[in-house]
Amino acid sequence: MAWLLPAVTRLLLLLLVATPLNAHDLWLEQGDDDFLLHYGHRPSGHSGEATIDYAPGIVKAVHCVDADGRTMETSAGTQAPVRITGPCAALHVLTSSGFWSRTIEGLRNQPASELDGVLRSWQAVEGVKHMSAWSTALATPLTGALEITPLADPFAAAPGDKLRLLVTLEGEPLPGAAVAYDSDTRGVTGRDGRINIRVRHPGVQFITASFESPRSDGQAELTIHAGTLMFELPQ
Amino acid sequence: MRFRIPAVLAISLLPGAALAHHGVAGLGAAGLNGPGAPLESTTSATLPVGSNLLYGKLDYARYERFDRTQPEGDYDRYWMAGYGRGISSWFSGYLFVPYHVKVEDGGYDTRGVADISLFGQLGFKYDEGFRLTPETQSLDDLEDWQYSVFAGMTLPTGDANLKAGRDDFDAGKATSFGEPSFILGATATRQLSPRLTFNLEGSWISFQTHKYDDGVSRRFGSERRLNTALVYRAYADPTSAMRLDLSIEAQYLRLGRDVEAGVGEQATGGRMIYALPGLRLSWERLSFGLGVKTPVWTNLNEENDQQGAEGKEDYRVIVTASMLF
Repeated sequence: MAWLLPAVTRLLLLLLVATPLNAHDLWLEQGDDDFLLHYGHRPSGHSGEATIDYAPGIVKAVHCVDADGRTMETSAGTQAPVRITGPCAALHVLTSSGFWSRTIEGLRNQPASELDGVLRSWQAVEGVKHMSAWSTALATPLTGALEITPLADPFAAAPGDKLRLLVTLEGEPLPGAAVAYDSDTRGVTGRDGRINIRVRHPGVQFITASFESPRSDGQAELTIHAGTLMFELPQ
Repeated sequence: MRFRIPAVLAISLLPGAALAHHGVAGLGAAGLNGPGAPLESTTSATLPVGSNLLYGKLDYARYERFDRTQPEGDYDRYWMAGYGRGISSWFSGYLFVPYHVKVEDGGYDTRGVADISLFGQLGFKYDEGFRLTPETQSLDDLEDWQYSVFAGMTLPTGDANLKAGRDDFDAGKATSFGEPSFILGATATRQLSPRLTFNLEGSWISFQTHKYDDGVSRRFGSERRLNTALVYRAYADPTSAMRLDLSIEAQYLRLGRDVEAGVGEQATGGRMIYALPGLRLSWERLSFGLGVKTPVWTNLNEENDQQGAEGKEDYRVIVTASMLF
C-alpha cells in the first residue's frame, strides 16, 4: 500500500484546494417530471436553502436514463435555475465554471496562461447525479465524469445501513477520491474505487466525491473534479 | 517472594497502545475522528500496509512496603522500545526490546536488556460476513466490529542468572526467563459512537521450565488476562491535527503459581484487577500516552507474603510515545 500515504497527501491537498470551490453545492430539485439545477447552500437539517445565481452556460452535458439504463431524450433550459426535462430514473448534469487563477491581485475566472503573477490555478469540473429509481442497469456509471454509483439498491437502505459505492472517472474506478456524506468527509476510495458510506437519516441523501488531477497544458496546474450523488429515502 | 519479570508488558505494547488512531482509514482526518485507543490494552487495529511504527514505553512500578523485615523490591522501571511493520493491511509484525531496572532496598538492584519479543497480529472484521481487514476503510467502516488474533514469543536474550549482589538467587529479579515463552490473544473493538470506543482483549502467556546455574529448575506460572477499555474522544482539532482521548481500562490478571524444583512455590500467583485511567494526546503522526495504574481488587494466593509482586503495587505510572511513518 505504498500508494496510501500519497493518497492521504492528495486528500489533504484536495481538501485545502477544494475548499473555496466546495463552499457551495450543486443540487437537483425534482418536480413532476422535470428537474431544476440549483447552486448555493442546499437545504439541510441545520439551515434552509439559499440559492445563488449562476450562468446557465456552466451546464456542459446532461444525461438522462430510464430504469433500464436506456438513454432518454432530454433538454436543458437557458435560464437559471436551469430546467432539465425528464422523466429520468437517473439524471447526470455536468457543469464547469471554467479555469480559475489566484493571482497577487485576487481570484480570476481565467486560465493561468492568460495572466501574470499566478499563484495557483485550476479547472473546476462538477457533476451532480440524481436517482429516483433503481435497477441493476444503474449499477454502472452513466458518464465519464467523476461519478458516484451505488452498487446495490440505495432505496433499500435505512438509517444505519451502509451504502456500497463505486467512484469512477472516465468510467474507471478511481482510487484516492475523498468522499463526504452531508459535507462530512468519511474516507477515501480504495484501490478498486469503492467506499462504504453509512446512511445517517431519512430524506434526501447527499454524497459528494472530489479528486484532483494534474494538468500539463499550461492553462492550469490541475483539474478539480467533484461529483454528487442525490436520492431520497422515505421519511 | 519474587519480582515477576513482566513479559506481559510486551503484549501490552501491541497496537492498542499506539496504533488504532494512526490513519487506518487511509484518511488524514481519520486519525481525528476514528476509533480511540486505550493506553495499554491491545486493540484490533493493524498497521497500514507498508507503514512503520516506532514505539517507546516506560512502566514505573512502585510497590507497597508492609513488611520491613523482608527485603523486596522498592520500585521497577520497565523500559520498552518497539518497532512495528504493516506487512499487509491485515497482518502486522512487531519486535520489542525491553530494558529492566529493578531497585531494592540495600542497593540489591538488577538492570539490563531483557528478553526480546516477536509478535504477529492478524486483523479481521465483520461486514456482511467475516473478512480480513481491508486496505482502506471509511470512518463508517471503522464503526463495525473489528477483531484480531495475535501470537508471539519471547527469546531468552536477557540474563536468566543475573544476581542482585546477594548470595541468594532470585529468578524473579533476573532479566530473562531462560527459555522462550509463548503468547496468544484476541481482541474485539467497536466504536460505539463518534466519540466513544469499546475494546476487549484476552491473552494467555505460557512459560517453560528452565534449569538455572544453581541447578534448580524453575517455571513461572502462566498469565491470563482480560482487559476492557472505554476511550472517549474529548477533543479533536482538524486544523492542528491534534486529538485528546480519555480512557479507562479495567484489567483482570490471573497469575499461575510458580514452580520450583517441581513444587509449587509459596507466595506466588493469584488474581487481581487493575484500574488504569489515562489520556492520550495525538498530533499528526505522533502519539503520547500517560496513565496511572492501581490494583483495585486482589485475591493473591498468599496475600500477606507477596510483597513486591503484581497486585501489591502502590501504583504504576505508564508513559508511552509512538510515531507512525
